[in-house]
Amino acid sequence: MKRNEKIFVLTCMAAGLLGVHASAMHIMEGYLPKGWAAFWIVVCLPFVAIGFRRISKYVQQNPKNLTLLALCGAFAFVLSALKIPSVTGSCSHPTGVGLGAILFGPTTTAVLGLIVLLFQALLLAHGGLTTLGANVFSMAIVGPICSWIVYHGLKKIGCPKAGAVFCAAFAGDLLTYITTSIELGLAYPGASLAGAILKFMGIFAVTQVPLAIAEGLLTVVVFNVLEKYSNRELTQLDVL
Amino acid sequence: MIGTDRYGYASRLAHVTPQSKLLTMAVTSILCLSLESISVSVVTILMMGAATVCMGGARLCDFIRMMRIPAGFMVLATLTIFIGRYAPETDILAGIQFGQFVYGVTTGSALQGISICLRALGVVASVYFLAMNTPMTDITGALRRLHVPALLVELMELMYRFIFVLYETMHRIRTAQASRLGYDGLIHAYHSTGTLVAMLFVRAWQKSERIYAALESRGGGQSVCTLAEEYESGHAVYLLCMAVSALQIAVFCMERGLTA
Repeated sequence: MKRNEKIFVLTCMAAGLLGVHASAMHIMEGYLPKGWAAFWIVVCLPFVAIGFRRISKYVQQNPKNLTLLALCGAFAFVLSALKIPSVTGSCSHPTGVGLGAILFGPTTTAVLGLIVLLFQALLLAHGGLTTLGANVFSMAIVGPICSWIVYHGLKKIGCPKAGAVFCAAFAGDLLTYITTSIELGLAYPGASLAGAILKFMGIFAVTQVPLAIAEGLLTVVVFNVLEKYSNRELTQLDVL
Repeated sequence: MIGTDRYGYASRLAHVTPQSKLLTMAVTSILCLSLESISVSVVTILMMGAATVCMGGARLCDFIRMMRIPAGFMVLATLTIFIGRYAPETDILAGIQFGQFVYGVTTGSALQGISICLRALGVVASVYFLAMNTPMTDITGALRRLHVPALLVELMELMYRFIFVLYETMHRIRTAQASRLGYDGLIHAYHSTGTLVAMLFVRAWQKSERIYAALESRGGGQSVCTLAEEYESGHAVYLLCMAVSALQIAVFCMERGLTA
């Protein structure tokens, strides 16, 4: 092997090892060009506006819902700080995409996700303000909608609850990761757009596929405990 | 306190009007993102870093530690941009041949990757100037003054308060579980983490009911009203904003002049 080939292989291996400990799929601050950053903000606006109208209605119906929603948002933020043992042996942080969508519905999750991602960007430096649109679209819109559809679809066809919950959380995480790869591929297409998207998907698969499986398993455990001890709350949220 | 919050409250700029810091962050990060130049990015990192350390009083090692947080994502994403598939006759810096093609890094892709990383770090430094010098409650107060919908700001303020309450609860449950060997082995770890999340949800629900009862009993059930703090004038920060943006534009023009 030539010298420059050795350098290349060693650099890739070192970068791969570093990446294993990368947190969830937040596109970092300033990583997207200005055009794409603005585009994703515009794309998110209608979803956030619908979610906001829905939340306003909830709060008008019963002011108690304001504290409940705020605590649900805080719960989602704290969830992202939790370490879950990944199936590959390393540790990852759950995104809470599936759990949030099943508990609160996709429209509410869009607004709560926006605030959670804003706090994460300012307090934890996960994600960013310029990439907020792209992150909200993948983690608070596409992922939760997918999870919600999968959960209710599987429940309707008579799938066992544990299976539906696992598939919803797994699919939500997977679609979040695919959407982020598409967003990055569109921003940096290189020689071919499809090639760039596949390249991003391939490199992030190392961390994201094990995370999706881990989060799916964790969400099933969470649901079993919730069903056992807090049926009343789940019924109020129309989950059961 | 979590993340940048501990620096925000301890900063010498903590009592300066938050609008001035918001404006500085917005102008410098938009210029860094729009001008897309390596020298502008370097100037932004240095100037905003210097402002956070010298004006805000944060320690240099803390600022550098915070700048390293997004490294995981940056390495993975930039690696993807760095590496490409090329024809065997392409002049590459480093790479390896698989079949008909060479997979590696060219001068162009390396320059693009470095430029993106520096630009991202420039914007990160600008945002840290805001985050490490402004308590979160001041940022939400500034958003209220900027006519962001009141319900959204109220939700943010309540959520921010509840984050610390839930963090404390989570740590207490986790310590109790760990002291009973709850995280010994993968299966136990999954069961304990799942129970922890579920219990946290139940506690959050119960707490929201108690907090609402407390608010209602004090006549504040409809909305949460707080008094705004009196701030010091932000002249120094506005001057900083003008100086950094002028320097960014000057460096950009010089770079263009050199390359033309």
